[in-house]
Amino acid sequence: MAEIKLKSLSKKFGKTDALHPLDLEIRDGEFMTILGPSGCGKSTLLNLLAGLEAPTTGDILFDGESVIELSPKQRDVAFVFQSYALYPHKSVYDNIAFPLAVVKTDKKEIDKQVHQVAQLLEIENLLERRPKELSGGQRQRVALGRAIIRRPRVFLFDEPLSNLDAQLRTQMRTELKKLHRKLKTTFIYVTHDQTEAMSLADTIAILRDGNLLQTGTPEKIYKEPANMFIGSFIGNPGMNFVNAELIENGAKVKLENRIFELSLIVGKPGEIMAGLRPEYIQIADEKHPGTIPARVEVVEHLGSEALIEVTTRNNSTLIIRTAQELDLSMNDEISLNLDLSKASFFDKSTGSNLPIGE
Amino acid sequence: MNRWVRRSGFYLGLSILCFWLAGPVIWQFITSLKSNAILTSLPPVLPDKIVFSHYTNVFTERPFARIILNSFIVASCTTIYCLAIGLLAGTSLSILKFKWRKTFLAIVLSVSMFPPIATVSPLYLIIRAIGLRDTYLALIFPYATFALPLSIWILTNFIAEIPSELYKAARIDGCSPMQALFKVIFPLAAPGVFTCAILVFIFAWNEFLYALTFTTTTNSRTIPVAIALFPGLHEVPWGEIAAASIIVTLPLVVLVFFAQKRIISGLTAGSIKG
Amino acid sequence: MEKRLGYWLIAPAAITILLVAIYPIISVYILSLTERLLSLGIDRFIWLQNYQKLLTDPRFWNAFTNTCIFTGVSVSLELLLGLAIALFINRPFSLRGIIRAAVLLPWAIPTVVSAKMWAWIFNTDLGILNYALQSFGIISSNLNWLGEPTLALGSAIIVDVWKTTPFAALLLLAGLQIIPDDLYKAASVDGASNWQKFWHITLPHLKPIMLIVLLFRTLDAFRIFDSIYILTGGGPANSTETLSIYAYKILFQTLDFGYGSTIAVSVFIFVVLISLIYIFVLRKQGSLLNE
Repeated sequence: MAEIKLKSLSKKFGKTDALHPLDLEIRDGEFMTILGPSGCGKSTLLNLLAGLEAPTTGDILFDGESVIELSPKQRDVAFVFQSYALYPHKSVYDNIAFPLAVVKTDKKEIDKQVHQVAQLLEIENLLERRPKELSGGQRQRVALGRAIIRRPRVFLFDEPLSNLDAQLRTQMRTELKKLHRKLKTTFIYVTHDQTEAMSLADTIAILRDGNLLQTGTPEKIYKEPANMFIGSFIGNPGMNFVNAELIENGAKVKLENRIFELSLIVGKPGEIMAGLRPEYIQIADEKHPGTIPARVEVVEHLGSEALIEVTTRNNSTLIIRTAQELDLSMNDEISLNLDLSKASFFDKSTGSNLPIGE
Repeated sequence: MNRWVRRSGFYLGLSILCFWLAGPVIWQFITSLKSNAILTSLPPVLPDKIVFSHYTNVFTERPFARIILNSFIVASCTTIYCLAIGLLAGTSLSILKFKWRKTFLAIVLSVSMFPPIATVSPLYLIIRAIGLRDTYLALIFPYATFALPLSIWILTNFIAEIPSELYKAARIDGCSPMQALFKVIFPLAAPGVFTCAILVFIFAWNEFLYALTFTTTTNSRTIPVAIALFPGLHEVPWGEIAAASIIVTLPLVVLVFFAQKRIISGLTAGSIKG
Repeated sequence: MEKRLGYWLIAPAAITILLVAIYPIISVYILSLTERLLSLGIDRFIWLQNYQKLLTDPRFWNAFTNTCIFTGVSVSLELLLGLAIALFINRPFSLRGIIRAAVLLPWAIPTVVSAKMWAWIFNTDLGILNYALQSFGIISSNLNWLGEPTLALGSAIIVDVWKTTPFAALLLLAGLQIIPDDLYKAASVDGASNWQKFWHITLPHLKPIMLIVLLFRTLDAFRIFDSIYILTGGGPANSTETLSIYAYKILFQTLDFGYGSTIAVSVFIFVVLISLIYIFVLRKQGSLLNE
């Protein structure tokens, strides 16, 4: 168990910056996911934490002590790889036992612990098999077993579910969450899948091009994205963006030829971007002042809900999520109710969230 | 009917191919079983009586047992030496991301193209100067000129196929770098090592120019040189040459038969992928 | 830690290559600039005089011509025969394993043994070749395959073709097997004939591997030594004397290490030139494929 602090940690490969200096704190026992598109530096960050690569600058503290000089062996971390990295020449039993066998543990003790772990992961019947005789889900469990058996201070996961099919992925997600609750150890989990990050994490850190953009609870990141990139990256579908204008000292916003009053002042008057989650837009029963006219482009039925893509008079495309039973088809004219109290506003040039002040 | 004609045409072609490939060897085998009287009589027909005297002669009247032992020691030592250091180099090149990887491989590849005649004179002078002439070492080290590039090339390609995550996983699981190599990487490289060992052994077993130049007596003379220099008092001892040829070819035939897939994969390694 | 280990692991191989390959190849150049007669104990530096001698030495040019003819003819035959064999056995049939082993047989046999084998077959009075040709009425009197200047080089080429065609065939077969089957199916659907399939699918895909086979075989044939040393020793009348044989004779029969090394260096230079030409062609080929 460990509390982890990263202090202006950075990594360069030759002349390219894989990771710009970043600071991050991970509480003891926290489930932290690091989320970002491929090539954002998240795997590099994991390798630095594990000691597989040396940072260019900065420090890593486990419980207040620097581990920079320590080898992976001494750091006492476990790593679950995307490819599982099971030793193909060893049986499942020997794969799980390997971390203990390396440090010359008593045979009986190893046997006891392997069975304990196997029981926990429900893979006792697989112990004699070779990795290539296992299914993807089973391999995943063995990889977890090999990580768990050492009772490490930190678990590192590098996209561990991305090689599984969709159904198995959902199931393993739940199991990981349960495992975290049982082990009460710090989990650091890297992924590019925002659903995975949202459903698993206590805290999400969003990384892009080697920069740390935002950290926070899934809820906070969903509701208050620090910039437009996060707004569109998080959520499925992502945030809708509409051109808007802040008027009258920022007390009102003009959007799609309508003027909305704001309870809070968000910035200086001028052109801005309004960000609206698909569920913050409702389809009005009838036209009345204050609604926005739009034309239906595509209707996607997802079962319990539907996604409707519409175009407004100003040619903005909006995606609406609704659970209403509606009989809409292409080119139907409808009216929209916007709930601007839940909207986010962004600076048009930098894309960053405008602070909501008094 | 048409299909039947095509099938028999195909098998006729196969027979011709096999006759062309194996005919000379079979003829050598028949020769080795003929008595000298039949051997020099015309027409050259099948022997009515099989004679093993040529086989016994090469062992009783010539030091052939010692020569086979020499060949075996030289080929084995070359194989062990080149594979051991080739495995280390291959690991360094593909697992540990050795910095000058490309340069090193380019040098290795060009060394493998060196014609042996170009290095034989300096090697002769060195070997003579340090008194290694007519010893096993005088062959084992020069053989590295062709065996080592081959080993490095095959093993580097083979180890590159092993996912680097396995090395990382072993490091995380508490192995030192050396432990990770010995417990995880080397066991996984075993099939590649085996393939490579077969090829290096065959090449070392068959080598002629260096063996001809650096050996002088039965102390270190290898089979190809012995066969080339088979002395005959008045005439060429064709029967004994044939017997000796069959004896040295036999282990190779067995090897080829059981390890053909490995040999072919080793020969094509690297050249197919580019 | 890994970085330092990387250097340690490569060190033994690097040192070995340095000692047994790089040092000798530098040293042979220096030797080629000296007059060094081992039997007389003469050892002095004479700059480029050996090379001057080389360029005007008719025996050198004879050996060069022989080497080129040998290389050109045997490598072309090997490629054509190898391609024919590869195409022929590239199909499923029950005896495939045995055939593959049979193809490997000539490759695995020591060159010395194969040369002795053929020397016996070529034997003028007792050889089975003359006997068979006479029985079929193709020749009226025995031919001296290895003793006749007009025949000897051809005989040596036959031996080399027998020994090394399998190598070419196996590489080409491996090349054939990586051509995607879908291409042939698509071509069949498009109504291509077998010949068109060969010309438009097989050959273009096989081209890179053919070039590699050509490179390996050319380099190998150009330094031919073993089989000719056994078959003819370079005779009769130097009609089969190749560059390697000539260099060997000057080095170890005349014990003239200076001039012998010069001839050896010439072999090395030719080999480098051949490699460079092939590498150039392969590069061009590669870029063509990428486009």
